[in-house]
Amino acid sequence: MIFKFFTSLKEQEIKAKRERLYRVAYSWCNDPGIADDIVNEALFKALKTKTELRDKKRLDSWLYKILSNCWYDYLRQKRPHEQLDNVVLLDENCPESCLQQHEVVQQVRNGVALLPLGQRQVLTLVDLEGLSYQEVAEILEVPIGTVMSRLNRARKLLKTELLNSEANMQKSAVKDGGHQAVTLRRIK
Amino acid sequence: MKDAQKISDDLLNAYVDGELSVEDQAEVIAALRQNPQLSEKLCELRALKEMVNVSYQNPPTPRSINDQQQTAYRHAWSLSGIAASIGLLITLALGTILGYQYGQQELGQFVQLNPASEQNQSVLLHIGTRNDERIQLALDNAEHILTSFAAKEKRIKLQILVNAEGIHMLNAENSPYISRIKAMSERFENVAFLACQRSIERQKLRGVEIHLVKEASVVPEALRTVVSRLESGWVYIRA
Repeated sequence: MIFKFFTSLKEQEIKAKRERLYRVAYSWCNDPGIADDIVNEALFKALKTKTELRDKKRLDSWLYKILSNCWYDYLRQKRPHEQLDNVVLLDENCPESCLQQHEVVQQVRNGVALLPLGQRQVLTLVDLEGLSYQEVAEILEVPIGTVMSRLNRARKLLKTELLNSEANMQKSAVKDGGHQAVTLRRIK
Repeated sequence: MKDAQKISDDLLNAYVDGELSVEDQAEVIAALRQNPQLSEKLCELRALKEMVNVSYQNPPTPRSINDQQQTAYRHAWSLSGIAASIGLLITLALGTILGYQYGQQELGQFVQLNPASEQNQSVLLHIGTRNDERIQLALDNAEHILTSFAAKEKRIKLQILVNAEGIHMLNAENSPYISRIKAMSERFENVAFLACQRSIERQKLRGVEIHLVKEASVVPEALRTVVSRLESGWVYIRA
């Protein structure tokens, strides 16, 4: 069934689905190579377990669920003893991170990467993919109340991260002779 | 009507995300009119949501990390993206027909199910994992196929394609499978080990140099190899 559905998709649609999966995977792991691996793995798994999808309208949710499981698999391989909610991938003090913080986009990406994994997943599925709370709850297999609380915590944390980042930049701007720091309002 | 103080953060988030019923929305709107602080909070939430969305519109591709290669890679990636899309479609179609319908069976059984005795059999075994159990099983099955075909004097070509985390199994410096790969290559002339160049480059970007065992040869991209073999009528099986 899904096989027929896949084959009925046009080239651009397949490409778009891969790009969307990649975008989400990247937002979770903050590493292009790992994101690419996870998306490839997810697509292979999707094919292998195609019979599990009964309703083609749920294709997107189903793919995100597989993607999420592939991401967990990856983390288990890399960090077998850590709790998923406590996983933080990026060191905010690394030189690479400091250099990149001159761009709003990088500030946001770094902020998202610093969120605990569970919060990061909820935030990106809602904000990037526009999924409903119910869909996210099903994909991550958590109650809808957990989705809401994680989202609330994620946004609060992200705001704090961005404000900290802005404050750090303003400090360095003073040192550098008045270079104007980027603020939240630029993108508003 | 709800008091502005009773509008929880969860409710405000749900409002921003369009999750509320019409009645609940009306209550939040009424509360927003009464409370400027709540309006400010709402603006911040909307700005955050928009920023997150905008920040991932153009995520870096796997090959755009290295500045030196960035431009060339972007062009290559746009082409490979299209190729990969077509490839995926073909993989989905042909992989289903040829390989995955036998996915739950033993590899040896699978090949026996398709004797095609008068024709050459060509099998692509794809290893994309570092999991020792799966790699050992794949190599066991590969040896089993090669041995059984040799015993029946049937011709078979077997290629073992390695990519992603599996690439470490072909690392000449620390792979635990070096002696086994060497033994297989010496024993069977119809087996080949193929390493994905893209996976090697990706490991390099992570600071890991992969020096391949001499029995391995390189293909530019695993997915394309899979697609190309499938198009040529090979049997594709993933470890």
